[in-house]
Formats: sequence, C-alpha cells, structure tokens
Amino acid sequence: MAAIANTSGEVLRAEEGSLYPALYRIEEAGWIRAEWIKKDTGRRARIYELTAAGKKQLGAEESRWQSVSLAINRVLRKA
Amino acid sequence: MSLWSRILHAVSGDRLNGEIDEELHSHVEEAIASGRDPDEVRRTFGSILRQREASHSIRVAGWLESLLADVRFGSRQLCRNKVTSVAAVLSLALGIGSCVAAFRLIDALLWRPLPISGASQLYVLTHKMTGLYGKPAEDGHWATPDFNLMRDAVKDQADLIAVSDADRTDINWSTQDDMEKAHVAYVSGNMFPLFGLEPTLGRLLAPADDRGPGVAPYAVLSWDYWNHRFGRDPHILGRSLHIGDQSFEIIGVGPRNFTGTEKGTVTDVFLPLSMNRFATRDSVSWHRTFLMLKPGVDPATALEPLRQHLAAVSRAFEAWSGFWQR
Repeated sequence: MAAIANTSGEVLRAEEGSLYPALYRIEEAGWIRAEWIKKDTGRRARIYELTAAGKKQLGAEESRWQSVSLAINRVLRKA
Repeated sequence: MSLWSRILHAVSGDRLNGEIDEELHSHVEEAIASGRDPDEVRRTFGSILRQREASHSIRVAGWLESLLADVRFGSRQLCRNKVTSVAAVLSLALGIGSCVAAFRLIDALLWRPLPISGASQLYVLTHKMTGLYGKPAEDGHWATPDFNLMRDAVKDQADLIAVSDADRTDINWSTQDDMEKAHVAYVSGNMFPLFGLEPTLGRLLAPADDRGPGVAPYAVLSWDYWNHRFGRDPHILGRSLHIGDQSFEIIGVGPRNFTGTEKGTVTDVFLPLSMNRFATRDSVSWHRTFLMLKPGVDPATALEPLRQHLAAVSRAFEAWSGFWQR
C-alpha cells in the first residue's frame, strides 16, 4: 500500500481494506498463490507470490494498458 | 483456488472466517509494528467485519453454503414438530410406493412390447369350444398335426409359429449331477428367425430343426438362464443336457432381452418342437400357435379370409370358430 502511494507520488491511494477481497479474487483466478508462514513475532502471516499464469496475465494487462494510454495520449495531443 | 477448496470452505465456514480474521489482524498489527499510528491504521483499513464478509463470499461456493443453511434450517424444523414430520414422511412414502407399484404393473403389461421385430403383425390363434356344462370356452392350445395342416394352408400370406408353455421340467446336466428344475419351452424352428432374434452365442434354432421327429437334439439357452446358472460361461456350447432319456446339445444362447413369449415367466431352455413326443400325436393339444402376417399383408383385409380358411382345414374341432387376439 505504502509502496504504491510512494511510487505514484501520493497520486494513487489504494484503500487498505479493499486489498484483501482483491487478493482473494486474484487468487481465485489462479494468478497468485498464497502460503502461511510463521513470523518472528510468533504470529502467522500469509504471503503471496505470482504464479506462471499470473505473470503471463500481468504481461497481457500491461501491454493492454500501454496501448490504451498511448492511444489516449495521441488523441489528447491532437486536440 | 479450486472448486474443491471452495466446497470445503462452504462446509467449514467458521474455519475460513478464522483464517481471514487472522490474516487481516496480522496486517493491522504489522502496520502498527512498523511505526504507524494505531488509530490511523484502523481508520484507513476500515471495518474488519466488513472486509471479512466481502472476502468470505469470494472464497466459498455460495450456492452450496446457502443450500447447507437451508438443510440445517429444514432439519431443525422437522425435529421440532416430530408428529407432523412422521405423518408427512409416512404419507409421502405410501404415495410414492403405490405410484411405483402402479407404474411397474402398467409398464409390464402395456408399455413393454415383445422385443421382437414385426410385433404389430403378430396374432395369437385361439379356438372357441364348448366347455364344461355346455358353457362356451376358449382355448389357445393346439395339436401339432393340426398346426402343420394350418401352417401349410396359409403359407402364402402368413407364418404360423408354435410355442409351448414354459413348464418347469426336471433336467440334469450330466449323468452324475443332481436333477434340477428349469422352464423348458418347445418352439418351432421358425420362431427365432421370424421374431428377428440374433444369438448372443452360437446359433439359434432354425426351420431345418423341424424336419422330423428326433432329428434335432439341440437346445438354446435364454440369456437370463445362461447368466444366472452358468455365469455367462463362453464354453457352454457343446455341453449336453438330459431330460428323461433324451439328450440335447447346447448350440447357442438367445438375445439378452428375449425371455420367451409368456408373460411373467422367463423361459430357460428352448428345444425344437419336433423333439417333443407329443409332436406326432393328433389328440394332444399342447402348444400355442402364433400367426405372423407376411410383410405387406394388410391385417384389415387379410384376417377374416385367413380365419375362415383356417377353420376349414382345422379338423380337430368341428365347431371351430376362430377368434383373433393380438
């Protein structure tokens, strides 16, 4: 969350609470997988990592975003 | 996440809620541990209960969860009103039972035609006669010489088929074996080909097996008998069975769905008509006679002339008046 906000210069702010429903939905689609680990404090935490299908999906979404934003930029500049 | 895990989650919903809670709490705690203000973290995170509800519905098979809830509710209602429940179950059971019984009866009597080809062209021959105390009676049994006469008389328009009742008969399978009972029917050789039946194993009886008395010591087993008496032994062909002083060689097994022409009786063994000692006797009426019209013969116009013709040649009963029945 903090990383997203910092990198985008506080322009993008994801709501913290909405993170988990989104994570579960992505997990449902098979793009990430989760594992419980034991932390030093003694509590368990769930860590997520991209699956192969997830990486492929990320690439596809990224190139789609690129082409859409490129198109929008062109239109804006022309106007 | 697989469908299986979603179903598991639906069945053990409390465990899933515990897991989600644990994960959300660990998120909040980590944020606080990293030095953020606890109130600010809780405010930005929002209600844990709300997040848990949103997450929960994603991770379970919702339809199954609500189905389980309905089942639980229903069973509690049933337990609460025991008398009403028992009465309802009983009346349902009786209703379903009687429906099934009625269906089975109608199915057996009306909806299951003989599994043969040309069933619509098939008729049973019976004759009317004077019975005890002068009452009119009807009989479907015929003597074989009579049958032969009638068969030759109508052979241009129809085929006659002889089938005896499937009587329980003592048979044994080798000279040492104990005697056992089986339903044995004697049939004319044209029955299997005219009914369009194909053997499961070996060959079936054919018109050639009718040539004369004692020339065809062959037997065909019904599929059911082969199944329950011999466990579908493929080496059954060539074995012999004995009835009295006669021996028959097994030459084939009939098709699976054909259990004979008698309702309610499964025929076990089919033997050639010519092998029965009654087959040459004029005075013994012992088998039924079926009439199958040749293809292309119209029952509406052909039956009445056939009836008169048969009555004319049949010498067994002078006052013969034919009667047709499908």
